Amino acid sequence: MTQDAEKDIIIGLECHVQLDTESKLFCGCPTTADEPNSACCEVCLGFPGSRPVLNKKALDYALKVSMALNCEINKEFFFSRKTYFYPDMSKNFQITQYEIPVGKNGYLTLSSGKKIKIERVHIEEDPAALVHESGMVMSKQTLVDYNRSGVPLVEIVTAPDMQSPQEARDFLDQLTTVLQYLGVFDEKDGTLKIDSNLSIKGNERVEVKNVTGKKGVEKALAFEAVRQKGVILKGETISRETRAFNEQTFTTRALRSKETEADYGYIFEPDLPAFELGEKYLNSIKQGLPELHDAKAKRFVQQYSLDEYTAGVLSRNSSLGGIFEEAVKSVDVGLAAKFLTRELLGILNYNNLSFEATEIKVEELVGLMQMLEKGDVSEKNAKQALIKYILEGVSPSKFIEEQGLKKDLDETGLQKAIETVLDENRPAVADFKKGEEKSLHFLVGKVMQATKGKADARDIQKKLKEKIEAE
Amino acid sequence: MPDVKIDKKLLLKVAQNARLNLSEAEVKEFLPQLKEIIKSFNKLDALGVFSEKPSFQPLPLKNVFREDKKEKCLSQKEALSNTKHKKDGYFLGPKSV
Amino acid sequence: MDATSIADFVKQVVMGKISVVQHTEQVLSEIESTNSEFNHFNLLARDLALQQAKEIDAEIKTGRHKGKLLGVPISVKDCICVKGIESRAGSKILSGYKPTFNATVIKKARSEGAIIVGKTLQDEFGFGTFSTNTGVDFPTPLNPLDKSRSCGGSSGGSAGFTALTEFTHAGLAESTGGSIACPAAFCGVVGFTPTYGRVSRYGLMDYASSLDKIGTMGKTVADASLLLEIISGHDSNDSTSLPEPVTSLDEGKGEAGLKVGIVKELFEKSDEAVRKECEKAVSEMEKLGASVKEVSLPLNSEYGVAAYYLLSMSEASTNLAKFCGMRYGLHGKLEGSFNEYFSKIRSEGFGKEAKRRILLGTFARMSGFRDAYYLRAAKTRTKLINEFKEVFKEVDVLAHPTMPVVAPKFSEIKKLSPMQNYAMDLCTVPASLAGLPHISLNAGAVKKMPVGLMLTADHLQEQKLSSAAFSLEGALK
Ligand SMILES: [Mg+2]
Ligand SMILES: [Zn+2]
Repeated sequence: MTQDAEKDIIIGLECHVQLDTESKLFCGCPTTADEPNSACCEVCLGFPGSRPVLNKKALDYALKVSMALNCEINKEFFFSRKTYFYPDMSKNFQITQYEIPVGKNGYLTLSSGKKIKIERVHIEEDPAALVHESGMVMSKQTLVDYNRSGVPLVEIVTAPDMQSPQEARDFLDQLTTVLQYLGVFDEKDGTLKIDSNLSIKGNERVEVKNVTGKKGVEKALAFEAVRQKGVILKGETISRETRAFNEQTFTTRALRSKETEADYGYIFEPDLPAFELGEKYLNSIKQGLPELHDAKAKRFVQQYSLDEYTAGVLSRNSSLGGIFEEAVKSVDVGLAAKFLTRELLGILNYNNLSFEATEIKVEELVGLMQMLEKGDVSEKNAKQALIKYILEGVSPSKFIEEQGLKKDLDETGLQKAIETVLDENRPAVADFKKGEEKSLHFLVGKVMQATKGKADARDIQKKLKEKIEAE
Repeated sequence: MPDVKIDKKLLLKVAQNARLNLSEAEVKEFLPQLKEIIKSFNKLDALGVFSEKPSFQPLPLKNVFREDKKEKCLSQKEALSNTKHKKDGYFLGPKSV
Repeated sequence: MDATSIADFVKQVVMGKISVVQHTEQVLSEIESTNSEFNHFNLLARDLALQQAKEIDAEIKTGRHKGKLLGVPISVKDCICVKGIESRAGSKILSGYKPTFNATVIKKARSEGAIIVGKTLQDEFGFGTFSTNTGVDFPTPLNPLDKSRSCGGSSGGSAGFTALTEFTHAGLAESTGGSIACPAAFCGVVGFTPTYGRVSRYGLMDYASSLDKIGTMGKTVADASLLLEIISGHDSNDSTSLPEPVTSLDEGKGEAGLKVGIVKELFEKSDEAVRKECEKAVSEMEKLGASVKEVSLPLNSEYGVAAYYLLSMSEASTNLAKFCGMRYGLHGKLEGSFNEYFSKIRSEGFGKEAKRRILLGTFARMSGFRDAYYLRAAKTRTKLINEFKEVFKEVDVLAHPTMPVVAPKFSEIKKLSPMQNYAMDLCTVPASLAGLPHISLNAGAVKKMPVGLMLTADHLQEQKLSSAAFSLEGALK
């Protein structure tokens, strides 16, 4: 896709974020369970006679999200009933916010610096989970698990401000970073469901419903952009419709046309009171907001003279930023930044691990960086210890001790090792003298082996060269 | 009041929205009744309420919460005790498309 | 046959003069023998009642008895959930539904030693004024004073049985737009409807959530008041439950110094014979020391019915969406798409009036009509509430006929169009829209058919009502 073509694409997102609470939005049922329909009560099953009572924490979290996304807060709001019939809706209406959401008119800044307008942030309940034994179309019946029914969500609705699937993906990355900072969303167990709409300028817009995860959205939008452009190219018109995304084939298919869209017939939710938030309460939420990644990155640049890129990487994850600030109390800023952004994140990415999935302790990391700084351990062995620590939880200091990896090699020891290697590999020495650089790398490797990696490669290389040239 | 034409087409649209199948006899019976009732509702037009705040409840009720605490829920057996349509701990519903 | 007040009955139970098991057996057999004739109950909770009775007898033997309703038979309107007892709100669509939990009012009554004897007949989900809109396959309850006439509705079975039985008894009833006061008036008993939110709705199967109130039915003001006091109070399971502490509904100071407002329009719109009986009752209040003046509620009497029906139907059509043959109640063969299956069950399970109200309610909140109907009604409600608030600056209690007529014959009811039928609620819907507490008590009779006088007070002033009604009841005897 060319840059020009992308200017025609208009994308808006509705992100449904599961709030990380203990209990559901309107009842005391847990938000996690092992067996189907084992975390339900009369409220979330929609039994007649049951009533909702709002989970205070869910409201606190929705306010935090609204404030972090620079929204205006509606001090007075209420809930509405959105009535539509579907097997996953225990009451055949969803309690949500319609006229007045908790937050409105905010924005989120992309990594490019572009601001995406947030139209609204509102609270609503999740429907149940449907299981289609032989696929959605083929199954004659639907299995329903109401454990999800009533789980608290915030829905974040953007303006149609994004112009490519990549930009939408960046929005979602920035958003999850904010949510992670706020501690309101559990990226490991919580769900992120997105309805996205995409249109090609001057054409009808198409909604892709219910896509799970950031990658899925990017794929779905990429497919839609190509599909819609294809339709236009063929001289056909795009119809206003809702489509579903297939997570196996990365394609979308038509679900329903605009005409068959339900009329939700919103009314005020009469089983809940109105809400009126006081200044004191709102201030307490505001004061509880952490420093967010944008602000933190700016501060890192100023305070630690880091380059913008490194500061950005270090602040993307609140734990990483925290470890960095703890480390620089005792080790060099450059070393800490490099160690965390290259080594630590490298290992996590390579093993497809999230920060939250590991049990990394700050003290262990700082200890390892200190050893590195003092020259007690080589970079190679430090990395080895870090891998062992992240994947198996083995303490780095213990690992280095037990494996004898401490850099206790003195100058004579290294010289001795070099001499032995040169003696044993005369053909390689000859090759190097003929100008084959590769042979030098081979010899460095041999010395590394002989010294159990305790010496640094660059040092060895330098000494080898001197020695050979002196021959 | 909007200029509403209460006819069979509208009645059937409303019925579909409410998931009710109306028989011919029901349409014939309901249509004049609904016309009469909606006409009487139009009476409210005479009362100027444009700037009035709506009352969704009779008394002003505000800010009722519960703490985020797990409470005892129903067992799977109890949850499913009122339905004939169940399988392997799941509720069984009709085809969802 | 005891026919004593609840308080006296409980005293005798405590003294061991009455065996609760024996007494309960007698009440159950009376219900069985009269029910085939009058249809006041649609379910007899025989096993549950006797089990409760045994427990109470055992408690009395060991001296650990407690409770203000010890051994008192209490009937429960079908729309109130009783754990393990089929509860259908008078609708076929709830066939076989046995709640997994007790309504808060059931818990409260039982903890005072009440015996739940069964579920009383009602208009389906409360959709009616005469208990003639009962669900598919349900019978219609008959007025014990004249079987060719209605008990009133929607708490028809509750009022009918309260009037019929010779035993000590009180009923848990429910009102959305007058469904306690109306049948109480038609059957000549006392119906007490509290302030909206005074009694928890937890476990009440909804008609319209912003209007529904659980209240009581009794032979006397004292009985109805006692039961109401017991079931009142804050409940954390109901977000609309009021936090205010419950005032005790004792005999109080009666009419002394009470300022009574006669609602001009509601007298004018009632049948002359009914009006006369109510005027006589009001003059009794005056004799007892009340000062009486005429007041006017022009907006409520003009717009109350339209605003009430719009709001109640809008809410009802969402409350009734949940019934679709999946999780409880009426089931069918699972076939077709979800739309086909849901529509089939709903068309089969709902009666005619339920369908009518679902249609009207769905219409009133559909896009394009919502602002003109649903929202306009909600705004009108503000004006109507304010009108009451103004009047209550001048008077303590409002008085007017509960119903503009005496209990009509079924043959007369048949001739009414649905709209004419709704218009019969003109006296009870204003207080209902405003969530005001009201009591209906017998003021007299027209050709042997009882006439009800309705007294309404400001929010949370149940005590005033109870005390005024108690004195008036004594004077009228
Ligand atoms: Mg939503
Ligand atoms: Zn629950």
